[in-house]
Amino acid sequence: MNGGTYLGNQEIHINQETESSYVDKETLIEQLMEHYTERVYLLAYSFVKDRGIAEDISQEVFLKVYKYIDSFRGEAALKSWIYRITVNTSMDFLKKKSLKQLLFENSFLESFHRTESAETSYLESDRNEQLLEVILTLPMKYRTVIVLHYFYDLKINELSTVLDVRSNTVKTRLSRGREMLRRKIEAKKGDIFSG
Amino acid sequence: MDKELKKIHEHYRDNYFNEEIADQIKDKVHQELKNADAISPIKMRNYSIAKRISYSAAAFILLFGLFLGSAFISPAMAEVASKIPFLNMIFDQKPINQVISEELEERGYEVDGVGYSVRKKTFHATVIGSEEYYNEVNGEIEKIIKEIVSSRGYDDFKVTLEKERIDPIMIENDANNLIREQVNKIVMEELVPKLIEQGYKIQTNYLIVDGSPAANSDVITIDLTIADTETRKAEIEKAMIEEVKKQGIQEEVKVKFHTIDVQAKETEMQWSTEVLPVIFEGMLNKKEYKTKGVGYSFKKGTMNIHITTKVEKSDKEAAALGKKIENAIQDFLQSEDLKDIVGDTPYKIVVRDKHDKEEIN
Repeated sequence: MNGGTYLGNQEIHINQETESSYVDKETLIEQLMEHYTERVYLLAYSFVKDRGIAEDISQEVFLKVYKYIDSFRGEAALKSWIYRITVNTSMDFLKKKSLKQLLFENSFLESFHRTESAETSYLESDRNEQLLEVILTLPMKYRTVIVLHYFYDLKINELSTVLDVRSNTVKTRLSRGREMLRRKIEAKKGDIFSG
Repeated sequence: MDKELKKIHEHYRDNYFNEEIADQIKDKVHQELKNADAISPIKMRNYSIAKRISYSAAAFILLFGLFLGSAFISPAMAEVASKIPFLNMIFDQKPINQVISEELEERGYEVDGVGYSVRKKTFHATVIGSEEYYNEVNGEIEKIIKEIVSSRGYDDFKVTLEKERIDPIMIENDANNLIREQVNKIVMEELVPKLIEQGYKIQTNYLIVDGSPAANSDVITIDLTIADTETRKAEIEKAMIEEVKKQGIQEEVKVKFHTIDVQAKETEMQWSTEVLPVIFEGMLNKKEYKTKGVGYSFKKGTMNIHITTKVEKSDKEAAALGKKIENAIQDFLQSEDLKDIVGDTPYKIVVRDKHDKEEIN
């Protein structure tokens, strides 16, 4: 990996007051894509649930990162900034398109490959799939905090930066989302194990 | 539930993402960036300090090559050259991309966006026009670029050409974006100059309105960079909000302040535009320095220059290479040319092994 401190761990952080790094922009975007493509894509997918659209959004996110990286001032961790752009780009997309159309008309949750063959693995996978479906059908504001908090390990203050809402709002959404999730998962468990 | 969610996350990653998707995304981004200078709505020419840096840094090599060339001819010049640290020789010279552009233009080729990628050590150019035209001229153009670059003393570079793309992905200007743009215009062009005139310490050099509008709300955030000595935030915010309202914008507007230490920022900017590109370019493009990557960090007033080499720390040559790189950079930084810029800014040169972990100097 190139020198400087852009990459190498999860907590990529640039701060102009205390620390900043320089690599040329092409190197940087390359490194960021290496590091964040999966997360940006899966975050976008959690909004739009369509592979092609999530790919387009991911592409747009990295182009925006490239465009605005000079102005990134490092008040927040770079990862929060990138997730914020991802969330906003996904939201913008949903605003433009019909949300309903996306959520209900598309065949839901396309799976790429099921590689597990043993029955137990299949059942496990099937169960996870159904639970994932529960998360991805939560109302948007709860889904976003759940995904970012539990999948991406973002803390309350980081969520507050990403979503541009107050910490208390994040806490409320997280607690309600968790409760909603718990109820749905319990109900689903019943379905899965009885059916 | 946490454990359960971890499993679901794993399932999500395993089943909804794969290398094919990653490659698709990366390929599209690469393609967009390569052609951005020509037609993309993201006008990188206007934004890219880094590009300017790498361009001008590439340029330094050009004159370096010329100078060495002349050293073979004139013994007097050779003597002078031998006394000048090599990084100084590539300091402050005409951009090579400009030389290439001018040469191609003179010969009548339709080319846009001649550039240099530090990471790939590659010169690239975009050919404008039809597929037919591209096929006809790309070999000739590549040859010319190679000749120009080789004649400057580069011994480690590639040349790639692309055809102008005609289907850029447009980032649509929806209504929200248009309002944001309008607000930006009012702020940047009318308000900020007025406030600066009134003595407010707003840093326009670093003022960029947030590229990513706020999620989940219609609030328009104005990101404003001010000196850390400026205490009148409330007054500035009031003036901003009032003016935006006065101009008929109904949306709620809030101002987000970012403070900077102006002196430190200026020092960093000067280093990153005038000093570091020379070092990076010199190290990256001469095989003898075995340099894989470059970077810097400016921390608590100290400039840390990072060079990542291609050697293992256990290699016999590692220590000597580390010293050689450090000395070359030292000679440059302590030279008369750099006196005004470097001044008494403390700096540290860190040369690392191929894993970017162990220091070898």
